[in-house]
This record gives sequence, C-alpha cells and structure tokens, in this order.
Amino acid sequence: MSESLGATGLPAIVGVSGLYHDSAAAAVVGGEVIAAVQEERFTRRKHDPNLPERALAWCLEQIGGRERLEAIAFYEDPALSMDRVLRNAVEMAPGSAASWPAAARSQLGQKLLIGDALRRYLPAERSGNVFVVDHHVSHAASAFYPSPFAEAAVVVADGIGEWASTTVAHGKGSLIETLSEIRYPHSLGLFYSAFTYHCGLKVNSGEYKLMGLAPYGQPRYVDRIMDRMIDLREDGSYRLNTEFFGWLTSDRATTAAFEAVMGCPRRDPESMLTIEYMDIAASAQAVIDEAMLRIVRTALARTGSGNLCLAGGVALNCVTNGKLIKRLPELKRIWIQPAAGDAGGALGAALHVAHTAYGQARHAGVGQRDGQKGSLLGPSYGEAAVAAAIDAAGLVAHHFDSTEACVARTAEALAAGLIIGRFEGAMEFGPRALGNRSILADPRRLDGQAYINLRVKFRESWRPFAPVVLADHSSTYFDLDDESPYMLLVADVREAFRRPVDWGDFREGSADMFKVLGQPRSTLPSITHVDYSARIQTVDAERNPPFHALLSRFHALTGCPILINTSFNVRGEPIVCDPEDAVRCFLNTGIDVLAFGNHLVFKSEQSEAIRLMEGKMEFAPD
Amino acid sequence: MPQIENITPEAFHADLLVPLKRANMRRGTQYFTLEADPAMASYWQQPASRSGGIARAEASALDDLAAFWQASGEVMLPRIIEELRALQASILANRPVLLDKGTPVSDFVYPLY
Repeated sequence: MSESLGATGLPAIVGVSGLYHDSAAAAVVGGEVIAAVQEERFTRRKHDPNLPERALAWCLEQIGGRERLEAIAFYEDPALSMDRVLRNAVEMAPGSAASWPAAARSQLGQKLLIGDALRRYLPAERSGNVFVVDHHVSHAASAFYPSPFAEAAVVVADGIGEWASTTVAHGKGSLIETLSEIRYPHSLGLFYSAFTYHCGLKVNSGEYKLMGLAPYGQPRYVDRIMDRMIDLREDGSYRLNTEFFGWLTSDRATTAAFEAVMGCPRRDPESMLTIEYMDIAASAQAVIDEAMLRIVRTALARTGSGNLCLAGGVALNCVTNGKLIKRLPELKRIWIQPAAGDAGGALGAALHVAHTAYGQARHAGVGQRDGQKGSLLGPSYGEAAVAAAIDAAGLVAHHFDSTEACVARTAEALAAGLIIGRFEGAMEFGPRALGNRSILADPRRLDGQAYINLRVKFRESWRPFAPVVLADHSSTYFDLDDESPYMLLVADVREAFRRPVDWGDFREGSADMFKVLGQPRSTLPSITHVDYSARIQTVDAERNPPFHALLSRFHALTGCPILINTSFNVRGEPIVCDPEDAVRCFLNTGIDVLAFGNHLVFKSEQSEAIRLMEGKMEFAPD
Repeated sequence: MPQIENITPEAFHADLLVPLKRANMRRGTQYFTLEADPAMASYWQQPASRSGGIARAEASALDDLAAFWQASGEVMLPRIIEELRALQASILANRPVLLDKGTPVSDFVYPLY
C-alpha cells in the first residue's frame, strides 16, 4: 500500500480556495469530509483573501501529515480567469485603462502561479498532483457530494467564477454534469452586490445586511429594475443592462445611470437609513427571489428531479431559499452547502478530485443523511487549552466534573436572562455559528435584539437575530416543515405567536426603526423580524448532541424550545476560533457568562479591573 | 508594438489591448455582449470550460491559456502571448502588488481580481 493511502487505504486530498476573498482549506479522505476551516479564523482578518497557509497546515495535521497528502485541488482555473480578465480589458478598452494595471498584477502575479505555490505542500514524488477545478464545478461539488441525495438538480449562483455566474447542473451518483450557464458580465451575485453598494453597505459582506433591511421596505422599484436593469426570462436566464453597473471598468459597483434610475445617490455609509433605501433593498430582494425561482424551476424541469442542491454566494440568501420551498411545489427536498460562498469551494474542489480523479465513493449516508457532519469541521480545543486560557486571563471560573452538570447550570443561566458565549467542540465551517462558537440568549427577552446588537455585537440595532429551535418543535413555532440544520432557511413565525405591529407614520416620514423594534412582534420578540420572518436553525441530537442537550434542558426549565443564536464575535471580527479569542471577546463585550467546555465564567464574579475591559475591542466595521 | 523588456501594465494596455479592441471592432468581433437581445429565446449557454471541469495544474498557466486559445480557434489573442509573458516577468521582477496581508481589498473587486 502506498504511504499516501495510509492505514485506511484511501487517498487524502486537500482543497484550497483563496487569492480573492474568504480563503479556506478542506481535507477529504476517500469520499468523506474530514476537516475544513477558513483562514480568517486563524489570522483574525475578516474574509482574509490570502493563500490559506495556516488553514492548509491545520488540514494537513488532520490527515496525519504532509506525507499522507495524495493531491491538492484549487477551486478555480486561473488560466480561464485570466482569459476573462484579458478579454474584459480588451472589450472595454480604452475605458479599462484604469482598472487593468491592478487586475494584471493580481492575475499575472500570484494567481497564475498558484500551481507552484501549492506544489510545495505535496511530497516530492506526488508533486504533479495539483489539480485546478472550475469555480462553479467546485461550488456544485460542495453542494451535491455532501448532500443526502443520490440524484439532484444543482444550481450555483454567485458573483463570478472564471466566466460562469449562474450554473445549472445534474448530480447523479458520483458524477456532476454541467448543463448550462450564464456568463460574465451578467451575474445575479454582482447585481445584488450593486444594490448592497448603493445602500451604503459593504460589498462582499453587506449583502446579508441588505437582506435583513428588506423587510422594513416595500418593493416599489421592482418594475423599474426589471424594465431597465435586467432582462429576466421565464426560463430563469437573464442578461443585465451593463450601462447601470460599474464593474467592467472601475472599482465602483454602480454608474451614474444607476443612481438616476433609482432616483437617489449612493447612501453615505455613515448616514441614517431612510425609507427609500429600505424600499430599494426590498426591491432588490424581490427581484433576486423571482430570478432564483425561475432558475430553480428550470433546473428541476431539465433534470426531472425533485431534489435541489444550492451553492454560491447567492445561496446564502436564506430569504430566497425559504421562498423556493414555499412557492415551488415540484421542489421536494433541498440541501444547501453551509459554506456556500467561496470558502466552500475548497471543500468542493477536494471532493471533486476525490470522486472524479480517484474514483472514490460518496459518503456513507447518501439516501439518508448528509455528509457535512453538522459543518462542525474546524479546530477543537481540549479542557487543558480552555483551562490555560482561563488561567492566563486571571479569570474566576466554575469547573464541572460532568458535562451534564455544566449544561444544567448553563441552561439555568439562560433561563435567568443571562447572555451566554458558548465555546464548545469543533468550530463551524462556513459563515454561520451553529452552536459551538455562538452567543445564546432567551428569545422571549423584550429588549434582546437591541441589547445584544448594541452591547454585545456592537452592530446596527435593526439587524435581526436567528432562532435555534429543537427540531421536533420547529413546525409548532414556524411555518417550516423541513429541517434547517445550517440556518439557511427563512420562514414565518406562526400566526398564533404573532403580535400586531403599529407602523404608525413609519413610511410617511419618520422611518424610525426603533419604534418598530421596540414593539414585541411575537411571544419571541428577539428572533421575530419586522415582517414576522425568522432565519431558522433546527438542532437535532445526531448532528450536535451537546448543543441539543443544552436546548432540551432550557426547554425543560422554561417550556420554550428556542434560543437566540448569533455568532460569537463582534462586528467586523471573524468568529472566535481558539480559547484566547473567546476570552478576549467575552471580556470586551456585554456577554454575561462564558460557557467554556466544562467551565463557566460569570462576568459578575470577575474583578472590577477585568469587568472594566468591556467595550475596548476594536475592529474595522463591516 | 511596445518594447518587450520591462513592459508595464499601462504600456501593455495602451500599445496592445487598445489596438486589439480596434481590430476586433473592424472584424466585428465581440467577446461578450453588454445588454439584452430581444431576438434571443433564452440566454442560457453551453458550459465554457477549458478543461471540462478539472485539470492538472501545469508548470505555466500561460501555456495552458495559450493552448486553450489555440484549441478554441482564437485568432487575435495568441498574437500577444509573448508580450503577456513579458508582462508577467516584469510584474514578478518588480514585486507584484498582491493582496498581501494587511492590504485592504477594494470595495468592488469581484470581476477583475
């Protein structure tokens, strides 16, 4: 047996994304996902685009060392990307003169040399085993191979890959057949980002905020957008009118023509949000919803499948995802890659090489459950590391001999209204915290949304929080019959739990979000958005038993099977990775209790000097 | 034609890409379309891949690119491949401005990086 195949007899393959944004590495042995992590978690630089050296090193550790590495896969074909960038520069000449120098340096410098950069991670005898996988194939692979489906329609939609921006494919067994695509410069991801930019939010991270802003507005610009900016066909294919978008020649997302059509300039990021930008957000959301509905309808029809797999940045739009389920009766089951953005491309590239170049079988759960392992694929730290971090910070902590006792005390603290930072087990892969690096609180708390946004997360008070609910109780509270283990579906809070909201003169002039936010919109006010929607995570005993135990205990104490679940970080900071990150975030924010392995650290029990550290953390706002 | 030694991105653009655009216009060649076309029944296209989705990374990605152009019948772009190689050499020799640690990424870098 070859040394690279190790005791299992299976090839170990590492996938890499990077040199763009959200770099990551993922390890696959045979057809099984072993590990995956974003570089930002180690470097503490949000959306770190650099070659993920630390993530790569960690993944190599997880497979048993570099000598076990059979092959390495990059999530994009740099030659084909260069082809697009060069043709863009020609097509848009002479207007591309300003953007070409930086593009040339980026493409011809690091990107085209990625093969050599990755080759050095392989043992010399296997240095030829560097693969490049097309960007949308990587995304499609990340969605289909770990899914529970033996066969499915696959839709990828993002900003841009090499040329493709939207792809329809058919996954069957261990094969993915790409059926059709929409190409640059026409792109739903770039389209949505343009509206993000126009509303004064940051491209590549503010899209999530635009989605959260949309329910405050009304989609009164839809016709204007559909008439002027995008030609969306019944079959889901589309073209943009590039007169309105700036990305072909500049580093601006929009043009003066865009502002003229929308009737307002780009919002100053520091200015108040007004009703017109809320309406623009609602309109952009409505258009992306409609486009994805048509695309998915076509994908299901072309493949004859009732199963759908989604990936690409647009798949993180959980409002759209929820509408797909609600409005497409032909859609029977859906599985969305939790790391749907570029980080997930690392995982998809590795899986694609495993299945196509090495003929590996898919994960053992096909037909029953997914192979994503709850997306708990990142680093974990033992009790010794936790204890060392507590000691180093000089914290007073309670140690519990049993996990059960620690869970019981944590649940009591939550029931008493305290805010918990939970650091437990393996870190999540993807942008969402799913319980192991999470801030948790009682969703019935009336001031929960504003308090946690302002005192804990240091972010905009209007942004909603997501609920995590025991899977068995999900359909009681929410209009959702499917599971949503990765917090990628939005559904409505059921009528029985809603409370009327008085919008008063909101639209007529005040646009005072605080007046709306100050009203309990349901019996679960902290997780109910202003349109009664919620971004749901269901938790079950199989994917994350300790987290399920905590929620079950809280349910037993309070009768409420739901908690607020938001990521353990502050605005602009990557989610905490190691125990030191967790201590730092705990001390600098209004988190009351740090649930730290089998330790509990209460802020109220710390010295005054330690308590005064709150609010000192500084990160560039996202 | 620019001097091939120490060619800069600016000179490459002015001396090669702009004339190439003019030549394309004369020939009626367009690499992509910028707006809707009411005459088209659908905008879905066949997948465009250099490799069919997966390939081994060869020593020079520019060799890959040149081979792709040749295989796809591209006439004009292969004529500037040597200048493209020279530009790459020049960029590498002058320490490329990359997305180094700490360098802020532009607000809207999607398409060109």
